[in-house]
Amino acid sequence: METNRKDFIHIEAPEHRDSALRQALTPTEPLKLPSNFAHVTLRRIERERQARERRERIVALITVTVCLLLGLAAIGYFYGAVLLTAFQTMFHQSESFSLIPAIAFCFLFFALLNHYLHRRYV
Amino acid sequence: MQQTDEQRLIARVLDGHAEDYGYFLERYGPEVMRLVSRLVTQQQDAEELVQDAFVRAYDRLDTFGGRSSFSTWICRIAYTTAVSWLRKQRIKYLNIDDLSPLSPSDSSPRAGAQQLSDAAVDEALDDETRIDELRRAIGQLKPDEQTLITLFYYDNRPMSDIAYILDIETGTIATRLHRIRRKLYLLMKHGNKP
Repeated sequence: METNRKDFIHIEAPEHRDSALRQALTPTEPLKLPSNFAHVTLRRIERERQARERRERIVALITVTVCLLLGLAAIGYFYGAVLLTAFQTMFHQSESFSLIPAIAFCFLFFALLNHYLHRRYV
Repeated sequence: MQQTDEQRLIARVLDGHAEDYGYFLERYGPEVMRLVSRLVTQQQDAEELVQDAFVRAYDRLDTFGGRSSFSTWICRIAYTTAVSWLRKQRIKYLNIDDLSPLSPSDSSPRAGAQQLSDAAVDEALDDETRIDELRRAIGQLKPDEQTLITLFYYDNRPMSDIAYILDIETGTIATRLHRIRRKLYLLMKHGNKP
């Protein structure tokens, strides 16, 4: 059976009882929060949010890098010799293969430009 | 502001409008401070604990289901924050059984606590000339006991709120209050020196 406040007061301590206890619980010099409490707390919340986001970004970056390196290492380990032979054959057979480094450079350039513009204006 | 409006405001905060959390800080800050300052008397420590409680509440805002009021929810967080802080301070509190017996003939402390008459306890806690003694006695209670009597006698909170804040069964509150009243009487009787 659930006890409620009224039952307890009725049985144990009617409202007019324990008046001294009620008075003793009234703080003589109540502690108060400073007037800028809300502002200071909101600033702390914002700071902690930014720190958390930074930590999450770093963890994500490390995870992606490790996965990428492991993937490349696995490809190299299992198919390295086959890929090398295939590239050598392609290089000897195709004249346009010499354009691939230039195209790769362009991709890298645009990726970096995209990153810079994103950070600067978004 | 109604509870439904507060729910809407919480949804906005969760949606990224962190500045709206300011309403809860302004509205419930003093109430939480009152609860914490009952346990931690130093202004700076109490302020820091109140802030910690609100930051923790912000981080867990998505778990606030609205089953209790925000006030009860934040008080529970503040209470657990303050209690874990006090635990780190390693402050010793008195048990009712640690108090010396009332009668010199009875050497068992437990017997001392048991042989109290309810009428004597009622009289002592009703005697307005002994408020200072009572204040000292309250200061010697354990944090959960102090919080319980504050929530019950001073804040006049419903039993369900008290149970939620202290994380106890509603049915045990009456027994605990009864025990605390006897403990206060014993502390007063022995001049707060067990």
